Amino acid sequence: MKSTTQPESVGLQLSRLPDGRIEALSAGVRTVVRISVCFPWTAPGTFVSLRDDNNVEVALIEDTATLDGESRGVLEQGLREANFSFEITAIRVLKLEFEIRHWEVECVQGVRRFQTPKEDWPHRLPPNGLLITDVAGDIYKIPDWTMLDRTSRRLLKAYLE
Amino acid sequence: MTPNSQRAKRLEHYTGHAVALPESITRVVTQETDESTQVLYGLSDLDPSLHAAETWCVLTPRYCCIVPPAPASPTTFRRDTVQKVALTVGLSGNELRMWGEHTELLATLRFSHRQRPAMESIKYLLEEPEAEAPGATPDALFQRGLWRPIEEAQAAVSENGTGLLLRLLGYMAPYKKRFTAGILSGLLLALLQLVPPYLTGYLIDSVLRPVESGTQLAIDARPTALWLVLLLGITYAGTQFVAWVRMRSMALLGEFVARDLRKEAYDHLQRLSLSFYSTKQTGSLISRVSSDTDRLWEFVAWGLVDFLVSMLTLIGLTGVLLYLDWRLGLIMTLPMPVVLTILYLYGRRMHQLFGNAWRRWGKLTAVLADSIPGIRVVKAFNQEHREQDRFGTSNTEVCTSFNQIHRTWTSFWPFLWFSIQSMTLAVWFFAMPRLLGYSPTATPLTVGVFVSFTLYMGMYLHPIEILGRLTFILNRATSSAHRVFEILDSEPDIVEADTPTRLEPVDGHVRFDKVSFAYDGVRSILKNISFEVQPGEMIGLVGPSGAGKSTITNLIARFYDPTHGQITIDGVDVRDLALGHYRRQLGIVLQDPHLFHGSILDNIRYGMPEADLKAVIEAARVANAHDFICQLPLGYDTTVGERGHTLSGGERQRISIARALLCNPRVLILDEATSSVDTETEHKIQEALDKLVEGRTVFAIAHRLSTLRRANRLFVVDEGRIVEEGTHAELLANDDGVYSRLVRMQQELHEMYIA
Repeated sequence: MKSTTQPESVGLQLSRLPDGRIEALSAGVRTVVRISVCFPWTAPGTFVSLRDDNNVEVALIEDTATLDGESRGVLEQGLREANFSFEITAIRVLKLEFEIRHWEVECVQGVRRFQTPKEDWPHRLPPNGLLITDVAGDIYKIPDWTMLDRTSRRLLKAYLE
Repeated sequence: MTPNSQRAKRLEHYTGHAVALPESITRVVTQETDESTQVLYGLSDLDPSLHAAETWCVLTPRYCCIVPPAPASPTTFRRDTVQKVALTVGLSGNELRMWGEHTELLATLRFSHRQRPAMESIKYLLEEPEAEAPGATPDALFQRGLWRPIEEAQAAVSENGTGLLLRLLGYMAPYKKRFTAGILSGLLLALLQLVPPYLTGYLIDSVLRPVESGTQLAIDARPTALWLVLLLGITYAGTQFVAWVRMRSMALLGEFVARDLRKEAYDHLQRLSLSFYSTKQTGSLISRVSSDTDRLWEFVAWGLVDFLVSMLTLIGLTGVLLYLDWRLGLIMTLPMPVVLTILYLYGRRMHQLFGNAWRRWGKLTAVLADSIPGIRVVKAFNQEHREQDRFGTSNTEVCTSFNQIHRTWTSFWPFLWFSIQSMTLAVWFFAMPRLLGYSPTATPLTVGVFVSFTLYMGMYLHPIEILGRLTFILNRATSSAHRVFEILDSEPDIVEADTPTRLEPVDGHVRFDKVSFAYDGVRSILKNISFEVQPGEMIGLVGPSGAGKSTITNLIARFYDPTHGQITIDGVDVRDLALGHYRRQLGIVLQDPHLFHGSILDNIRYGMPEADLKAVIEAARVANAHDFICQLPLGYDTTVGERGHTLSGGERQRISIARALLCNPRVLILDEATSSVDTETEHKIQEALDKLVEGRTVFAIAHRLSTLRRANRLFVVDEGRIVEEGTHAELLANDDGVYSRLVRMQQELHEMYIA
């Protein structure tokens, strides 16, 4: 394993294979890697662990700025995929249905319906961000709930207060 | 509508997408593959740019067909050309890639976690071409994956709220007399409550005013007055009598219904298979049998009759007010729908506020439950202030929530009272000219009628208040009924044959014939396993964690049935055996033995309550437990288990061995029986086990391979298959074998840390 934090990550090169996977070239060795983000909420763009098929760490990138331009582009695209979560833009329905809360929302990605346990509260991302995890484990993000439309805010307020 | 289609409809409502393969996709798949049967399918609900999409991935017996939304064309390839499948898991976006020969990328599917169970099953079947066909229909498997997380969070019962309450009423059938008495007395109570104001008005108009105005002599009016007062007294007494009948009948009835439900739910829980327990949290099951049934008592005892009485009182009051004076009556009754609506909205709002407050309360208690047991760590890291802040924040949030509740109800009730008093004022305002007679065009109104009227007006608020409270009780009751009925509606997976076979006694000849098993019906934990064990043989099951060792013993005990293949005991299919009779001849010693609250004697006799004391001592002696039990002041009568005397892990284990020994089992399962104790205790337990295994068929799982030295044969289990079989010496002879590797690793560890 090579723990590649600054300045050691200089020299690490990342590229996309034709099948879409990421390949790391480090010290002349090419390895297909997957991205594991150490702090997806606390510091999503830093401390990125690159791991091979056997879950062995190939490199730990503390800061993407240490990579060359092309590698940084590959990593940032990879991070967008790895960190993907649904982003809610409006809430159409939020109601209680026997021990669960049923949501019908508009997301950047399209319309979704999902459920959260009745006793679950969203994780707050200061100042006004919210992260909601549904029963299946999918994550829905609201970057700033005060910026949502009036109906959405009313539905959320009743839930949050 | 069948229960299955109802469930599918509910699932569609929850997911917002098709929950069965659409007809159009089936047609495309059939055209593409020339196969009309589907084995399994999954939905890729994200497109390459991670936007919502509906791409179906369907496995037929020979093909994998991927059908994206039109106008894109489907991709079809033979399953046996798939060389590699990889699943990458992200926060919410997952990826399944399939490669064919020469590392050609065949397909990339992106999907949310909701679709992961189906996609993981597809991956499994593509990676395991020899895998058995799934044990359920593709629709059932797809829906099971979608349902599971919802069902874990919510009780799944197909009836709606009304259906549930009607079903609940069915539990009152055995108590018809009490129920009828409760309902009739409730209705009678509603009627009787209407009488005193009427009599009061009549007394004023027919007796007091004529005497006061001199149109009747007091002496003449006295008998009528006395009769009226007597009637009033009888009405009051009658009211309290029927109130007593009503309260007593319904409170007792509620308790009987709660008892019956508790019993039925608990009895049913005992019958349910382990698969049910694996999907439910213990705490949730406990609260269903305890607090949920209690909430149903509240509904039966008060909610039901209170609702009827309040409704009838309101209707009666409306009728009486309109009868006494329809003009004034309209002033009171016309705004009532508005008042009831406001009350309903208030109830809903309070329900919501209480829900939030209790969640915050839960967070506060979670802080306590976290920090108090961990106080040594808090102090060791000098973090008292941090914990104080954490508690302080939660405490303030709780206070804020409850204060919001107090602000709401303290504002609401005076407002409601004032609204109703405004209606009363309006009545006074319109009644005054008629009472005083200064408006010649107005219809005169007698004082008696008006007094009756005002008394009835005073009675209006009580049933309204009750109806407001009932919304909350009704919500809670429906929710509790859901949770209790879910237990009752669950069917055990393991059912006894119609004409079961009793083996008396079991000899212990165990045979697995091409046995496969998958907990989810697709991904096999055991793959085509066959072996035969003779009576009295001891088999050691070794292998890495998750290899399938415990699953083998679970199938022998018939906690689950195999997905494919057959298990026989003494030549009889285990599914044809009388379950209770068979399990009585089966002994199980687990890694963490559970002792019930009660004496050591009760615990040793758990499987054989009729065993005599001598047999108990003998079993304890063989289990190396007798000596330490005799050191306890209360000996075998010492209370153990929760809230009882604390025993060490080794002592508990030896009691559990004595418990197994007392039943003289013919087949014995030892599941990591010595893995959680120190070396000296292990030695004592091992001694006990050595005596226990004599003359029985034994399946022993152990990570410490040294504990299996007495085994006649060892089965090395890896990834659901028996990869090696033989004696310790035979297996060691194969240097490259899995067993040799495991032994070498353990020796190295031993030398590294102990030597």
